[in-house]
Amino acid sequence: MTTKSLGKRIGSLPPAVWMIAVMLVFYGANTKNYFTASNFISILIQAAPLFVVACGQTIIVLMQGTDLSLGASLNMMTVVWVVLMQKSLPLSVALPLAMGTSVLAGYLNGLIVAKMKLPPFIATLGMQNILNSVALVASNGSSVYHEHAIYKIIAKSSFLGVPYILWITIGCFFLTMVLLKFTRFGARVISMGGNPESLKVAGYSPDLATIQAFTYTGFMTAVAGFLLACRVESGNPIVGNGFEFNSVAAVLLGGTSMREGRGGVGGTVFGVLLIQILKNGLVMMNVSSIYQTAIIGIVVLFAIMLDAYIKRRQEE
Amino acid sequence: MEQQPILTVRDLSKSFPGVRALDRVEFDLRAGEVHVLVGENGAGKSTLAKCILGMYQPDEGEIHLHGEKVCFSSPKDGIAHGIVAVYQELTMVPYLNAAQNIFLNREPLIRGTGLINHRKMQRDAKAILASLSCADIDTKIPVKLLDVAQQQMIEIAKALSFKPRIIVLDEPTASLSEREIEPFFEQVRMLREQGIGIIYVSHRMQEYHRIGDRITVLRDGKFIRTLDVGELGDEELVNLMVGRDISQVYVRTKNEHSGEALRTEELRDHKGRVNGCSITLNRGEIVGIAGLVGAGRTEMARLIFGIDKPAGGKIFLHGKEVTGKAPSYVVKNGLGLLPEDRKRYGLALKSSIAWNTVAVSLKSVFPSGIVSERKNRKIAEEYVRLLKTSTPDVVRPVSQLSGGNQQKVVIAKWLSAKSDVIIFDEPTRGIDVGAKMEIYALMDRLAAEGKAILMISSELQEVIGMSDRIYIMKDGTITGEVMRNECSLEEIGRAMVLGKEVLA
Amino acid sequence: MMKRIGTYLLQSKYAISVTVLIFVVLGASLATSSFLTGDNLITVLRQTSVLFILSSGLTAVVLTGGIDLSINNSAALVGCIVAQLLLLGVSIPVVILAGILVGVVIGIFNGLLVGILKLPPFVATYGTNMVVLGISTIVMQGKVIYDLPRNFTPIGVGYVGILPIPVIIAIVLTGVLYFVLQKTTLGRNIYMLGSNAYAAKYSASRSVLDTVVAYVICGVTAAIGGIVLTARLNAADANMGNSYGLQIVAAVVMGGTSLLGGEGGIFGTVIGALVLTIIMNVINVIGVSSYLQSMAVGIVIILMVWLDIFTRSKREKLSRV
Repeated sequence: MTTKSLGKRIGSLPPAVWMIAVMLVFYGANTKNYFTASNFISILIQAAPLFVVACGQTIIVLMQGTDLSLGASLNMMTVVWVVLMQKSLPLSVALPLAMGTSVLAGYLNGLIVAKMKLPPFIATLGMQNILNSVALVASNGSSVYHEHAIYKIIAKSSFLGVPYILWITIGCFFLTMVLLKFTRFGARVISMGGNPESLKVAGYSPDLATIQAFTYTGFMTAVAGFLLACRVESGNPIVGNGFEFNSVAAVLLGGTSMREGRGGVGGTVFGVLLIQILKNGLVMMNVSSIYQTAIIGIVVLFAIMLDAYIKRRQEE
Repeated sequence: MEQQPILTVRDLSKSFPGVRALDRVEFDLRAGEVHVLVGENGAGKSTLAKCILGMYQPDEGEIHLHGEKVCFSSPKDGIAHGIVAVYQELTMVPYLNAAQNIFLNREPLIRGTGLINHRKMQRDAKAILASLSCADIDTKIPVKLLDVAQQQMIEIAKALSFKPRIIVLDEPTASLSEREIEPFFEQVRMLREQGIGIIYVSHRMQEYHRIGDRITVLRDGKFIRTLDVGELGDEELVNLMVGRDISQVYVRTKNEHSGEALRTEELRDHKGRVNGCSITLNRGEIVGIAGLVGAGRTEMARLIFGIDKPAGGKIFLHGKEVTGKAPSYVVKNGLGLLPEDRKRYGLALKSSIAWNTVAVSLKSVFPSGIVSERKNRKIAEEYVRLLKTSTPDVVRPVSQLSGGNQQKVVIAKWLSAKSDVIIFDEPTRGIDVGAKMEIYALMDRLAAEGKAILMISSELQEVIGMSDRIYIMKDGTITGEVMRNECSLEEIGRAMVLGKEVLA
Repeated sequence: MMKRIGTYLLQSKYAISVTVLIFVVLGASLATSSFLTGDNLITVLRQTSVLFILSSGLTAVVLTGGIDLSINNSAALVGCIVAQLLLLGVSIPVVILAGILVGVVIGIFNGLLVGILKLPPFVATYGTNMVVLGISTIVMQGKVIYDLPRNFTPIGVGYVGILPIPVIIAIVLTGVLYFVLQKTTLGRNIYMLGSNAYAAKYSASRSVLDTVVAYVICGVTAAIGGIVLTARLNAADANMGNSYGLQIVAAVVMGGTSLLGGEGGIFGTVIGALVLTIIMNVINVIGVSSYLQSMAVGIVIILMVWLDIFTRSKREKLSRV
């Protein structure tokens, strides 16, 4: 690799990377015990469910869509899982069933977008409402609990010094990356975003590609719901609220573009980390929660503007 | 070298709502020949090609492949029978690399897994590209970073990867510059040597001789004649395509030219597509700009209209300097522009004829800022009458009009804005012969009324037929200027390509 | 006969939305005996009007082909500022003006992000949404304000004759926006911009200005909505916009205004807001679990937009010359 192309590669890193670097320096200088393994592990554990959701969202954004139903899907999945366990179904049955609801929701999203020709935004907006209803009805509107060892195993126990929750997250990352880079499924997702016509010419139905993509995103959400439920040790009909937008923000901050099928799940890592490191640092610095929302909003908006600006300069 | 055709088309007909696109067309193709399909826009060339490919299903008639009757329900069937296409519009996915694009949805897999064997795919892609003498194309970077000619070669590589016996090339040179065309033709000749039958759709006269073996002429969806290249001269061929003597098609009444309307001095843009263009245009005059795609003609129009800011040079409109001003200012001073892609740039397709007609003149028609639909309709109806736009009413969306009538709406838009200097960029692209003649007559009338018209066109016949004066443009500069009737088609064609001074 | 009705329905712009509205009203009156009572209708109208006011300006933005996701929190911010100013004893007209000014500023900010920086509207306004929520939190210092001055609350709960004041505000806004969108050159430019942004550019129209104005309209109606909401709740809190969230967008798209821009209109949004509110009202009244509200809403959103897209494509096929 020549120095020039290396330089180009660095230049094409999403601004999130630089902003993370700046934040690490800033927080490191302003808080005690910032650079400790336990702090970073806790950042990563906090970030895990959002990251897994964002893996799925990356696929949809690559196809020039957005999935607004992911938060509601998380709500539903956590509730259904715990409720099924309350009904004394064994974990091995309850968990696949609950995850199945999220996968099914994703599949339905795909069906509505592909066959009814609704814009993804509207289709998933409708689905969001429907899934929230399911979550509320199943949980009767409040958190549901059921004692089980699985929560602690996933969220607290480690293998090789790394908590299981992170292993699963890493697994989701590699799965999505491999799918995007090394399978026909991934090539189809990228061509749907870049030039759906090309897929038709290649003899593959864009409808089918759409349905597959949404279904996969449903699966990622199911995994994220599992992690989230383990972390909060319950099922909760509003625990996932906001994940849909935060995941879109993370994906965009990671440099994936809503045009042309550009980007990938690698950037999303930085997008999620940016949000989580920012939040964690504000807490570490004892910034009053009153100011946190505004600060996060401004940083995120700034990063998005920076990214748009850099992309436009590159285009020209 | 008479031989059995590999593909025969008999009595093929295809209708779309309101148009009979193909009417009992005959066509045949031999192995190892380049068979050029010619005809004016709307003659049915693309429809025929699409029927052969399986994208359209003909209403009547038969297609025989190696003597066997075939019936394709989709391009997939066509591909299975060894018929592939290279489309006019590139079907590249911008953020996949060349190899991924070539083998989209057919990627070689690592045995026993669903994983793509990138190494093999790269090797195969390189091999195909090497067979096209394009081994230098980087197959690992997103194709978006490659230039158009390279993407075009990748398109061809993609077609070849199907091991076809017949390739349809639909206006393959449309986006290539002249530098890139000759190497491209080399590749086409190579394919011909390999015994592949090539159907070549093009409207560029110059290309027929360089690449074609036989020519089939279509007109208004009808089969006219199949002939060998060289059997007829250019003028006669054009007459066949147009269906009448060209002198009847291009009407240009003599009228007085009075005073300068538009002048540019050493105009340059930031991207190096326009490098010092000086032209003048007088009232009552039609001036043509002849040049190949990529010569910088549209870029120049955009500079004059104010969409892009010039890097240097000056623009004067009626003697007043308007260099670097916004479109709204330039338009106020009388400039109008019919953009080359009217569906994309010229019209709000979903909106009505009435709305589009006053899109530019909104402020002057309704100075109070309050819109009256009735007055709006009246104005639109006036222009419908004046321009003979064929439509039952003015409230329907322009998307429902034919190409020629859409172009008239664009013209109405500028007339209602009282523009007196109008740039026509490819004014008859995608328009059938009848409507073309009406557009020409209209241009002639506008000039007679004292308006100044700058016409940009790739169709040489129309430039020569309509212009009082012609500038020849190449690589962003004006390389020559000729008066009407001073110059033949061949001479200008050569000048466009070679960039030599045409006349002493 | 059926065929003629069918053809008519296919041709009219709001036909689908009106039909759905009629069915929803019919269904509602059959499902509950109390739906068609005067009291309940007034309640429905009052509930509708807040949602409608919030969505009304969004209609203009969606017509340009954009979207504004910052409305709910903008409304909340305006409500918070208004409440704080009232507590300081500032006079009501000044407070209202200040609130609207905040809306204008947010609108300009969004408009510039979209028009000049060319950020995708979805992203830009989502960012704004977070920022304004943050500002609200700072303005309120994490507290909730109750008990606003007595002469302020009528804006939300008062009546003129039998009509609640929010309903009157909604009707006035409908009229104003109808006039602006259908009868002025500005409105025309908004439609043309959404229909084809490139063509607008090649028609020498000032697209950036039109974009900013559309977002400002949206900001102003968000502000008005925020004021009405605050008065109705007789309270202000940074999160008061949360429950409206995407309902605002839903009301607009259910009314047949296309997210691609250039098609639709303010009456569609009136109908969209009505349908949404009636469904929620009925589910409340008939005593089914209120948790099913959003299920019904979700299904109706999908069906209504699908019907709209479906008939539009049929219509295009029918009228091709």
